[in-house]
Amino acid sequence: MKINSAKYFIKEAFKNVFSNGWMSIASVFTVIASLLVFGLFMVLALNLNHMVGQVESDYEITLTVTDEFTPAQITELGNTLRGVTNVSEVIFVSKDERMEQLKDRFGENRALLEDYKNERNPLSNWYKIRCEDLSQSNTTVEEIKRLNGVAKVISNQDTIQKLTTASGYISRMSGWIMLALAVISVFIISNTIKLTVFSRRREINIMKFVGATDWFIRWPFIIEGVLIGILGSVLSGALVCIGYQGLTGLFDSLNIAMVQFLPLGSISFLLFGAFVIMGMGMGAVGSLISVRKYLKV
Amino acid sequence: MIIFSNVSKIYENGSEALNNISFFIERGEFVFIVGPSGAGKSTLIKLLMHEEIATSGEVIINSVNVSALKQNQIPYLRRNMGVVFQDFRLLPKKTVYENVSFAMEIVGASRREIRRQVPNVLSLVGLSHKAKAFPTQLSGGEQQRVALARALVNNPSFLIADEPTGNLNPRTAQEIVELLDEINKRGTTVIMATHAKDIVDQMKKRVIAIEDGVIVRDEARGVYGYEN
Repeated sequence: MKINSAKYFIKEAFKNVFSNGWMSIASVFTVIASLLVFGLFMVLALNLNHMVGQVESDYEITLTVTDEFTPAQITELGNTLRGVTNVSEVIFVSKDERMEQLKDRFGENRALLEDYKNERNPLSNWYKIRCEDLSQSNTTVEEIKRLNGVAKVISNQDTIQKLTTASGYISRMSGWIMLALAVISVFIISNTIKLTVFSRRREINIMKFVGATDWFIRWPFIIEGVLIGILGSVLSGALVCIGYQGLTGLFDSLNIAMVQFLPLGSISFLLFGAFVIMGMGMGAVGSLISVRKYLKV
Repeated sequence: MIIFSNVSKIYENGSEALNNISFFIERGEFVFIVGPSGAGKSTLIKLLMHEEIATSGEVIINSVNVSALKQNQIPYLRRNMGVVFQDFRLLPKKTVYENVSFAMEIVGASRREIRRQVPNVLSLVGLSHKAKAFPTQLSGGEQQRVALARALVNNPSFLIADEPTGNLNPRTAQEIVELLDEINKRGTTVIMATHAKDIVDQMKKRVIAIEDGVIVRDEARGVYGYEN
């Protein structure tokens, strides 16, 4: 593309955007609307993935030791556990420690638990076990269950499975929804550009017989579509970021969130990148569709 | 050089516009194409511009077989020719200068080339003083001069004029044809389809007469030959 031509294309594209002001604004809003919905799903999927990662990273198997075991037997069980394949870490949590933790949770009402000391402590001793390879944790759990003195094994594998399924489901769904929204946006953008093209069909006709190439005629319209796309994506990106910041802030201040949300800073770049690419793509495709018809002279 | 070799054109609706036409036009010639309405003049012009493609036979322009041209090569063919229409086809929102410079922007000319060339052609057609005017502020004759300037600005090897005087009064028409003659004398081949008997008779140029899609006459220093 020659530089002279590039200047001409950009000049024409800006002229088109402004001369069809209202339709351009309508298209920008379409882009915003569809990207907002997309953004909602994207943020949800990102956070779910983050949660899965978080839960996975502190994935541990909790093992309840039979109350009949003597301290010596308990220590021996600990050694056996360390020898089990795929076990990376074994931590002993005595019932006294657990009682202390429980009291901490009761906070001001800790006095209620004062009675349950020593022999009267109803809690059991625990072993917490971390795995080296999470995918093999099933076998490890089975192996541990068979050991002598193990009363109960609890793993949060189910939680992880559920989260993984949910995040996969949401990722797929956001993919489909985005596709549908993209098609709608492309359609509406192409209608806007069609108006520009229609109002300039005389000019296009003259361009054709003076010897303009098809691409020369297309470029200004493509740039027009891309401009609309960029404008819409930047605005919706900003809206999503503001909304996200507000919502996570609200959850944090209410202190009800069980999980940590991703900080805005870590997703804003990804969000804007995805939005701008989507916006530009929708704009360019929309333009190409609408110019096609008028080029056959 | 333009060669039509056994060219026929049948439109999709079955109407036969041209039937086995052959002729050639040499570089630097001035040719009138005459004939009653619907005889095939417009089709012939459209074949030259590649707006239509011959059903059979060959159209050869500057040693290129136009019928075999690929879609993306057509623009480069058109840059060899300037075209002027009966209805001028100017852009109303652009000034005279912009209407002409537009044609240079399209072929990717630099700003410097544009600034040098546009005043040249405007002075050739005698409109230097109207450069900043808009087409609606001009008379028909002046508008056609702008169209001529636009057609010539990229130095085409030939000029196609489809009824260029059709919307003009006889005196203005005369001026336009004199201008075409002037352009022709500078070396540009001129092909003009027309109904203007007076002009054809007076110019004593080559005349190709078409009737019902067939060439009925091709004379070196011809006359219109029809009663209007």
